[in-house]
Amino acid sequence: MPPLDESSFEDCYRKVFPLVLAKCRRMLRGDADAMDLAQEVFVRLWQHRELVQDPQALTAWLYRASTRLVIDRARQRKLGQESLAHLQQTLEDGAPNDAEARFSSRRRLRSMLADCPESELEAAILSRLDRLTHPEIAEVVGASERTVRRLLGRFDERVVALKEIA
Amino acid sequence: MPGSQRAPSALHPSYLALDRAALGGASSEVTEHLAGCEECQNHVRALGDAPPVSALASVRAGIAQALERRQKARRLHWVGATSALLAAACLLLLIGRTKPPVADPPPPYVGVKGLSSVWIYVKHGSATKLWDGKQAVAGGDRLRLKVDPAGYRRVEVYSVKNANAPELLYSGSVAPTQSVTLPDAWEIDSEPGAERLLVVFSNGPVKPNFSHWLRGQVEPGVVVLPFVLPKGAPASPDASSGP
Repeated sequence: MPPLDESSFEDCYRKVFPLVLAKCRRMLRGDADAMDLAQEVFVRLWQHRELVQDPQALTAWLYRASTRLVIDRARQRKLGQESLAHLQQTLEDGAPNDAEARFSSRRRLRSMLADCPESELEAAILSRLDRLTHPEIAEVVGASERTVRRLLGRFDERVVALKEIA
Repeated sequence: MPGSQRAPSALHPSYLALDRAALGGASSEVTEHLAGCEECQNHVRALGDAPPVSALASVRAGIAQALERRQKARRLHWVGATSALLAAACLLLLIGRTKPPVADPPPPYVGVKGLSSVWIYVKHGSATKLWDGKQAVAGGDRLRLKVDPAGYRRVEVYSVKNANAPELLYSGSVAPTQSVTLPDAWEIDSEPGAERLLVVFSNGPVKPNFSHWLRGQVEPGVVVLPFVLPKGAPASPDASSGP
């Protein structure tokens, strides 16, 4: 990694950081956790800063890296329940409206985080929180559209099965 | 949603497509959508807002640490390889008389924390702009701060005209998990020299230790964010925004 160039760093920060932060805020409700995650993504991005010249590659990298990082942190229980509310809604197709439903929903989220393959969670987040189309998800995760359809199908089956168990 | 081509909000382009539009890479389909959709326009416009300047310092520190870790890892690798050769040579002569070589421990991982954030709003004439980290301020401009305490319960703001005796501008409790705009605003005087501020986050009253703070030496449980606003002829008051 060559030495830090101040002007290019600040330009990159001003141009790209709001985008990173917005993506992190979509995944995490707590502003502090989102900011912390965005900073870590940006530090990693800077180590691949040749991407900044290519917005297509830059945005694909950014969506992939930030999504995987949030899954890692959630699995390591580094994020509070409040921060995970958006991911919880990803599972539920909406916010549970009573205390019992919320409790069940949290339990399903924990179970999902523990058991669901990262590739399925990644595809679900990109689809449901970031509104990506199947071709876009395929581009971001580096898989075929057929694989993306399979991942999302399995994820849905998993959610249905968890709800039935509950 | 098996079989579907687009996720729930089928009426809007994906955030990926909107982000690409914000970076200048909009497809004709997205451009057409943006022309008639206020919600998506707002999203793209918000991406053009200046990010918090305090996060810039944290990110810069994180990158410097990553660079240092990598350089240290390279040094350790080189030292390790050389040591192995020397050790092999010495082993022939000193077998039984040397202790096993002990490698340096790996460099500790130091994560980027620095969650506390500060937004500085500058009111020049009738226009209020978010300070971008470079923009010059002028005598008569008014400053107002929005802070994200990120878990801390107290914030203090100092003006550092004299490094030995900074002036306390604001001190008060804040909700640890909520961003808040401080109630006070401060007018920039006409004296020459940059306007220097220290924003201090803590969980209780802190005895100021400016000589250390200004050298970046901060005690545990305290976060000190320094800001230097250059003085000069400011940009004309055009676009406006505010907390």
